[in-house]
Amino acid sequence: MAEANYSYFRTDVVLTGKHARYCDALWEQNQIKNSYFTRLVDLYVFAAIVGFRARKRCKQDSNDDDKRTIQAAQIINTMILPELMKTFILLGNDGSDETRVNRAFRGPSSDEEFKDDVEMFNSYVRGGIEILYDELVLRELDLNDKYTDKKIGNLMALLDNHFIPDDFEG
Amino acid sequence: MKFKCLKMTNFMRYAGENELFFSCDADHNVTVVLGNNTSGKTTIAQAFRWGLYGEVINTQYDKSQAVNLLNNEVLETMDANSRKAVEVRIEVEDEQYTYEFTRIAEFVRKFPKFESKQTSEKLYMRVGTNGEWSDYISDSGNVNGRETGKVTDQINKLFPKELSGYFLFDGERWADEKTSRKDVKESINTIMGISALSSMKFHLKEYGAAGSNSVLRYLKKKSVGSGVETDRLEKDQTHYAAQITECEKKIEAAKEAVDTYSEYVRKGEEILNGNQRVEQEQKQAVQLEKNIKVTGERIERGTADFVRYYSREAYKILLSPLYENVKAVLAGVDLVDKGIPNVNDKTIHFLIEKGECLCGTKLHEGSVEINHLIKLLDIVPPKVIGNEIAFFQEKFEDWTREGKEAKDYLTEMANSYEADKAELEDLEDELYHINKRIDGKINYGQERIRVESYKRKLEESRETIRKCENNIEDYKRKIEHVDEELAELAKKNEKTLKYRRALAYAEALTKRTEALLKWKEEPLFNELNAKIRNNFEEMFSEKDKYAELGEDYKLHLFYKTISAEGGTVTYEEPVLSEGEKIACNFVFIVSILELAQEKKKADESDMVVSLPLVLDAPFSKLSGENIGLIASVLPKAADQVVIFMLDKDWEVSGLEQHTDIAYKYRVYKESESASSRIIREG
Repeated sequence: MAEANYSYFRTDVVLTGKHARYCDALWEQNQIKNSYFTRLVDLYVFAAIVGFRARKRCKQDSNDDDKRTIQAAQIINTMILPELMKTFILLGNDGSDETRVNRAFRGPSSDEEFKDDVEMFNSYVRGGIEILYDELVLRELDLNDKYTDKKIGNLMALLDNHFIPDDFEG
Repeated sequence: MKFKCLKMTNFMRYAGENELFFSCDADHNVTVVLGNNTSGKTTIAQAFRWGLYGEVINTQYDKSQAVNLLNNEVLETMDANSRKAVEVRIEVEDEQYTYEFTRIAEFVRKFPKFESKQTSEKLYMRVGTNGEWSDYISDSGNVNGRETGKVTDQINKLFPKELSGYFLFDGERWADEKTSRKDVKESINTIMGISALSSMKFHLKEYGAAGSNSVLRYLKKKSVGSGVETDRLEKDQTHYAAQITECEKKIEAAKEAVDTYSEYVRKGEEILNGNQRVEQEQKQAVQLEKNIKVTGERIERGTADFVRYYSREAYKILLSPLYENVKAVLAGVDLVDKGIPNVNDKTIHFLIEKGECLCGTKLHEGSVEINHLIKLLDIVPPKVIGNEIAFFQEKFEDWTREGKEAKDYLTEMANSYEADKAELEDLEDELYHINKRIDGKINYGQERIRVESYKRKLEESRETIRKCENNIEDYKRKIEHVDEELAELAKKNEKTLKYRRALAYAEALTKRTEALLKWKEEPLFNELNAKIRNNFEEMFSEKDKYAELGEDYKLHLFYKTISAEGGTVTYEEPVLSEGEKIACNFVFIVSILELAQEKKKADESDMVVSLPLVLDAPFSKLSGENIGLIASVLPKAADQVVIFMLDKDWEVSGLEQHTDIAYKYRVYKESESASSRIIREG
C-alpha cells in the first residue's frame, strides 16, 4: 500500500494586498530601526501565533497588486513552524481529541487534508498580521502604558495578551 | 601767531573758491564752523594741514595717504587735455609780520576714467609788513636753484610740524597713543621755548646712534689721529654704534608690539572675566553634546538588540499559555503503545504480500483479516507516535520556561531603554536651556586660546626689549672702553693737540648745557603737572579722579577711593575709556598752551611758541556736561580758537559768548551735489 508523504513548510509563502502592505509597515529589509522584527519569517511565526490565539482567520486578499514573499529557504529552516502546525491542529475544532492527535502527529492522509491544513495555518497568519498591524503600528500609547517609546511599548504590551477577546478560552 | 584767513580753490569737497576769515580779536577769539556729519567740516581742517605741510590724513586717521585733492565736480568737467589746479592759501599774522602761504597742485584727468593725477606741486610765501607785501618766495628756491626749502622752514618755524598733532586737534584721532615719549618731550620743550637748549645738547652729545655723529664724537675721533690701532678701535666703535641703532629699532618695534598685545590681552580678559559663567556653560554645552551623542547611539543599539531578542524569543511567551490546552487534549487520548513486541511495519507488509497470516489464515484482498493487519500498521513502528508526543510536550515545557525568562529579560531591556531615553531627554533639556543662556556669538574657549597666544607674544616682545636694552648697555660700555683706549693713544699724538683742546671746550659746554636744561626742565615739568591737575578738575568737574604727566611723558589717570581703614587711596586706571582718553589729551594740550601763554606774558622767554588751536570735532566723544566745562577753558588757553562742530555740541559749549557773529560759518552739502559750500552766518 502506498503511503502518502506530506511535508509542510517547504515552499514560498506569498502575502498579497493589504497583508503585504501591513508586512511592509511591520518589517523593512536591512532596516532594523524601522522594523518590529528582525526577519520576515519571524513576523510570519508571530502572526501565526497571534492569529491563532485570537482565533482570527482571514482570507487571502484577492487584490494582488502588492505582494510580499517569504522565501522557502527561511521557512524550511524555521523549526518552530511544524510544531506550530501540530499545536494548531491539536487545539482545532475538527473531530475528537484522538482524531486531532493522530492528525497532528501522523500528518494529513490526503491532498485535501494537506491543503486544508496549509490554508488553515496561513489564514491564521493573515489574521495575525492584521492584529499585529493594529497593535504595533496603529496603536497609540496611553497613560496605562509603562513605556514612553511607541515601538518598545507596543511590543511589550503585545505580550500582555490584551489582543485576545475576553470571551475566548483558547 | 594767529590765522587770518583760509582760501580753498577746488580743494576736495569745495568746488571753485571758498574763503573763511578768522577772528583775531583778543576777547572774541573763537571762530566756529558748524555743520552736520559729512557736510565738509573736516575738509577745512584738511586744508590747513595740506596748505602748511602738503599732507592730508585718510578718513580712518591711521596714516597719511594720497587722497583725491581735486574736487569731483571739477574733475567731471575735465577731458583728456584739461588741467586744473587745487590751491590753498593761508594768511597768518604775529605782532610784526603777516605771512601768506600758498600751495598749488596741478592735476590732469586719466580720461575717460574718473581719476585725477597730480602733475606738480608748488609752495610760495610772501611776507607783509605795514601793509606792504614782499615778492613771492618759492620753496623750490631762486633761479639759481639756491635757498630751496625756505618756505617750508618758515612754516616749521611758525607752526612746528611735530606740534601739528596738538594744535591741529582731531577729535577722532586723539584716542591714538602712538606718539612717543621723545616726541612729547620735545614738543613741550619747543612750545616752552627751551628746545634750543635741548637741540644744542643733542648736537653736542646725542646726534646719531649713541652719539656717533655728535660734535663730541667728531672731536674725539679727530683728537686721536690715525694709525692701524686707531683705525681698528674706530672701526669697533662704529660697529658698536650700528648695533646700538639696530637694538633701538628693535626696541621701538617691540614697544609697539607690547602696546598692541597688551591692549588685545586686556580686551580679551575683559571679555573672559566678565563672562566666566558663560565660558563654563559653553564647556558644559560641548560635553552635553558629546553625552547626547553617546546616549543616542546607545539607545539606537538598544532598540536593535531589543528587536532581535524579541524576534528570537518572544513568541515563546505568546505560545506558552496554549500549553495547558495542549496537555488537556493529550491527556484525553490513550497514548499507551498498543503495538506487538518485535512486530513492525515490515512484518505486516511481509504477511500481506505472502497472503498468509502467522496463524495460517489466508489473506485475501479486501478481507477482514487484511484490513485488521492494515490497521495494525498504525500501532507498530514507525507509525507509533508516543515518543513524538513526549518530545512535543518537552518542547512545550521548554518554551514555557524560556518564555518566562524571555519576559523577564525583555522587561529588563525595556526598562533600561526607558531609562536611557529619560536620560537623553534630560540632557537635551539641559542643553536647550544652556544654549538659551549662552551668547552664541563668542566662543569663549577659542577666545581664551587667543588670549593665551597674545600673552605669549606680549612676553616675547618684553623679552626682546630686555635683551636689546641689555645689549645696548653692553655696547655703550664697550664704546666707553674704546674711548679710553683712544684717549690713551691720543695723548701720544702731538698733531691732534688742537682737537684735544676743542674737545675739552665742547665737553665743558655740554656739561653746562645739560645743567641749564635740567634747571629749566624740572620746574617746567612740575608747573605743567600742576596745571594739568587743575585743568582736569576744572574741565571735567571730577573730584575722585585726577590726571598727571608721568616720567614717560604720558598722561596717567588716577582714581581716589576710600580704603577699608577710612583713608584715601589712589590707584592708576590703566584702561581708559574713549572719553577719558580724549579728556586727558584735551587737558594736556590746553595746559601746555596755557603755560606757554603765561611764560610769554611774564616775558620769561621770547622763544615760547604761541599757537592757535584748530579743533575738528573735539567734543564728538564727550558728554554735554564736559563739553561746557572744556569749552570754557579753550578761549583762555589759546590766543585763537578755530573750531568745527555739530550744532548740538555748539549749543551746550557756551562758546557763543566768545564768538563774534561775523566769524560764525555753516557748511552745507546738498544731497544732489558732490560739493559743499560755506556760508557766513554773520
